[in-house]
Amino acid sequence: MAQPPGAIVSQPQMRNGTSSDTKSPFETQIIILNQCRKLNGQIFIQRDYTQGLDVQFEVEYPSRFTEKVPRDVWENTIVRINRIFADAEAITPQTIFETLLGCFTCYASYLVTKSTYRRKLDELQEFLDRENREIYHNVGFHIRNPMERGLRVLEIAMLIRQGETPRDEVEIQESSRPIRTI
Amino acid sequence: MSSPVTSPSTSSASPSDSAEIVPRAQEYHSSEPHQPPGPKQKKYQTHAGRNRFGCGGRLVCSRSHGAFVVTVFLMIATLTLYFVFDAPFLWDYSPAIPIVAAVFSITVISNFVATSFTDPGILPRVENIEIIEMDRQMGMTNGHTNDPNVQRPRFRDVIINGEHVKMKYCTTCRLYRPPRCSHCAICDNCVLMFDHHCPWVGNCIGLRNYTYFYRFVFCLSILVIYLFACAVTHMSLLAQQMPFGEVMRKTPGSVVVIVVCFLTTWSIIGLACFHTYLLCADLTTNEDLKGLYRKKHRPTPPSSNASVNPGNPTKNPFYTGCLKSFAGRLFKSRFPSVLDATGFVDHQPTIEIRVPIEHFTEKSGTNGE
Repeated sequence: MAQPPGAIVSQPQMRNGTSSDTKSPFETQIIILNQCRKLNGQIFIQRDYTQGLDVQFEVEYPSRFTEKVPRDVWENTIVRINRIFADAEAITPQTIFETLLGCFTCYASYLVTKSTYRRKLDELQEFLDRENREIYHNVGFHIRNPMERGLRVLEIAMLIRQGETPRDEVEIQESSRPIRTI
Repeated sequence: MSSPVTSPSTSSASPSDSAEIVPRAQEYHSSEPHQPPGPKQKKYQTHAGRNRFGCGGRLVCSRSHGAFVVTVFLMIATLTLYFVFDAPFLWDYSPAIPIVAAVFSITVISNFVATSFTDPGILPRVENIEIIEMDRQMGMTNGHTNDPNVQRPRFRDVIINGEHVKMKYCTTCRLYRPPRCSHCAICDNCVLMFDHHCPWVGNCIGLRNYTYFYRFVFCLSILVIYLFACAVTHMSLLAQQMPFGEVMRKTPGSVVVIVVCFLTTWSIIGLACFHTYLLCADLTTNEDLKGLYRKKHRPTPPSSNASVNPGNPTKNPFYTGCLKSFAGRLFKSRFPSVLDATGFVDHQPTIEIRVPIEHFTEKSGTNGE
């Protein structure tokens, strides 16, 4: 924690995006997440078990989003994430067909076709990429795919941006308290 | 920064992990700071539990495999004897008889293989960096130097459909076990929706392979009865033509089939009935054996806030109806493997973000001051 601010600023490596440079006024910046996590910490959105074991995340507004992400934007995002998982867990004629086809082909069909759940996860990844690119990266957050945490928790990394100092210890402890599950 | 990162991993690495097959024990320690040279590692190579992997992480099974070999041997031996001794004889009566047996055998074997080699829903162990951040968020920053496991609350209470359920902290995997998740002592993993560790199939039965397991047991009970009936029919038809001693000499295979089927049929039928009951009641074997939701075994309700919630504290909170439970366990789209054993280990996850150039130069300018 006691690193000089100069060291932190130099950590995100810069790269001049060769292709994007000419076409759009954007530059690609590579950020090493572990450094952000060590210095800034993460926000954890816990699983919401009130309806059962289906994958759902708590919709509560993380207090560290205050003044950076509007409440309705966050709610829109998390509700969309939850809906994708609800669709993935639902029993539809398609999943029944998928299962029966698997049974009758001795699960050979599982090797060649993607499951509904897997397709929904791809959709989730696409959605998260878009939300990150359009909203969250601009304000210094990055929602990570919950699969990386075993669907236990949704992790939001707080990025180190140029010219930003890492948070100080005192502020975190009080502000992050409401994130906990009871 | 690096010293508190590495200290918890040494305290919680499983001592019995005598890395005999895969050199993975030492990789677990060096998870964080330095990137290993060499080629990229796959996640199964750094997996800490007692599992065996095949096909680049696609196949997952337990490392204890004594009973598994017995099952495979019994199945292959019985089926071979049946198809050598009984099937040709019965083919003359009706070709349908051996064909039905063959269909059932293939179903049983495919379900058996699927049960044995599917990841049952193993939760990967938690990285150090997440533990540290969790602790910090819970206001336990001061105890960085102490053993973090000592101070952490052992339970976390969640309310599921109005019932209080405790999530126990797993000191090995370092996570609050989700409801219905349990730690398998044999594989040393937390398994989602843990049913039981089945030594006969050589794997845990959990969220991802329960459906295969149920189909396996169900079809196997039918197959065993069928083989038994076929072998008995074969022998009794022969006995009408010749004395019994000669029948024994002519088809010794049928005798073995009858004996094996007779001995195993009871436990298999019992198991199939038991799991059908569990499906109807939406229970897991683990919960049923512990008697979690039964009043007679537990005079005091399991929830801590029983006085607050005096309604039906011993009710199974997951039960939403017999049919729904059946469909939910057997016909849902298959849950992805959260273990993701085929994925690559990413020690330094990086993301690329796009920043506007003007914005960036202005910011770096302020930075240089």
